[in-house]
Amino acid sequence: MSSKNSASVGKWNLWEKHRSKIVSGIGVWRGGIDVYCRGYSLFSELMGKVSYMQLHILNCTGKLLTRAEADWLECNWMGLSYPDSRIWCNQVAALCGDMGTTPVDAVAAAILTADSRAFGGSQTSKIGMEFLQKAMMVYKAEKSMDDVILLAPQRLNKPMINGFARPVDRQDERLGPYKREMARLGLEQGEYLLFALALSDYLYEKYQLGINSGGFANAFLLDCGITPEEAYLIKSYAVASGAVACYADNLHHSQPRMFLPLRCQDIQYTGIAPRPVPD
Amino acid sequence: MNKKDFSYQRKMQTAIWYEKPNIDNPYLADSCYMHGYDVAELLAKRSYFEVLGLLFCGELLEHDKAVVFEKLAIALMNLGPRHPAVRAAMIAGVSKTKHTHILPTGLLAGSGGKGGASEVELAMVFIERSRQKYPVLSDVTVEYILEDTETLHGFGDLYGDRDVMANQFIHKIFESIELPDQFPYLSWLYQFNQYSEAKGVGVLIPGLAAAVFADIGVKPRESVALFQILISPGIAAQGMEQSHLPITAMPFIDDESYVFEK
Repeated sequence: MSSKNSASVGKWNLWEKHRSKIVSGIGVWRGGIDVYCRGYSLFSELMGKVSYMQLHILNCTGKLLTRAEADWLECNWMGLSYPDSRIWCNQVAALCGDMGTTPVDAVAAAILTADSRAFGGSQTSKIGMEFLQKAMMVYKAEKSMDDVILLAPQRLNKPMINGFARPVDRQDERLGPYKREMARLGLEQGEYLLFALALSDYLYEKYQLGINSGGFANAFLLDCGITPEEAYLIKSYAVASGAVACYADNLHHSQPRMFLPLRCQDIQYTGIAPRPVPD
Repeated sequence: MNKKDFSYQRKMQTAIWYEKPNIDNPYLADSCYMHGYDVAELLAKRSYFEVLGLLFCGELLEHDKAVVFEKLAIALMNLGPRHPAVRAAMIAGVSKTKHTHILPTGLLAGSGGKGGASEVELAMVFIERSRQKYPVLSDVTVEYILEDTETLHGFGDLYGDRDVMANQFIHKIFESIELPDQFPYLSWLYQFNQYSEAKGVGVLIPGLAAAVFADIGVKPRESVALFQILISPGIAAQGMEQSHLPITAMPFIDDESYVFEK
């Protein structure tokens, strides 16, 4: 090796160490023997002993939540994936059905659509949990919800807090069942959930805003020791079930383009009037 | 949020496209207009890159801008089989996925902020702000810009060095321009790149794309999608090539090379 190469090898040594090799602490498949997930044997320690949701959270985070906590999160997922093709991600899945794509196309497109800062439970969980963490710190320091509200951007003189407003209707039908299932599973309301409910009461009194499914679940996950980034991982495909249903609903129309067909005039054109192309 | 705070429109809106309905069948269009121009007339009179510029910017690109846009498109056409986006499509191809999944798979891998489409938007912001703050570059100002690593996007090192190919591309494109004043962002980036050579850093592919997009009038958000469009051909071609090969045509890491640290 020339002296020039010897001198420059340090620059790419980092990549050289990883060349043709995978180093992982997450898991490994030992063909014909077993699979290890975050240090547990899949076949002797996990399968038949934990739920799929527990395993999913374990794979994402390395944390093995209790069965009750994972069961509650499953309820939350049921509340994140309605089979109603008006919802944005489901509308995309329905269009995929109408176009005759595969179900995997539809669910992938729906998951991407729901990777939104406005709805969907994946990215919104991360945003909402980060807010709750900051809000709790401010509340502990200042003992005032007024100071907590200052953390949030304002719109129409109302604080915009992820998890404390719902983009269709104020009453969130999921809150009652969530509380009922927590009680049935023997789960206590933790520090974050109690704080979130108190924030909701304050927001309702002052701005007619209230906690929604996302805010409730965000607080619950923080109480389980899940970080915002981990929640984004866990809930990355939470809308899949409803999306597949809406896809299937539109797969077998007698003609193409049967899902919400649009006439030319159903699109409002707001651009430049017709003009000649210059030569 | 109260229900009254949301007022959903009754119709979808667009300023890009107008379809003149057929008299007999309102679902069919008799003619289509892109930013006011009849598409049939466009295809007869204008090049693909002039019209692609129109689609994203609202006006037909001037000829010299369309030429630079096309040169960028050639530079980005195939990022090569080692680029994560192309490689993802190749893995999808060899793994026998449905052929229509190959391009979207590569585009998803290529969407990230570390050298992918998301970095182009960040690089546009970086170039715009740095150019405003330091319109005239010197060794000192370049030092300031490079020190602020939080804002530095589309610029830096690849595998610990300047990206040789990105450097070749910026030189070729910049040297082909007759009127550099018409390309203020690319001119600034070109100079910044020259000043940075001694530091072992330089322009990266997303930075090059960002400067060209800024000069042709593409907005930062739109730049993400345009970058995806321009890198699509290589992703598709390389992925499709693998789809014709057996699944054994690509290495599979053996147990000895898979280090599991429990």
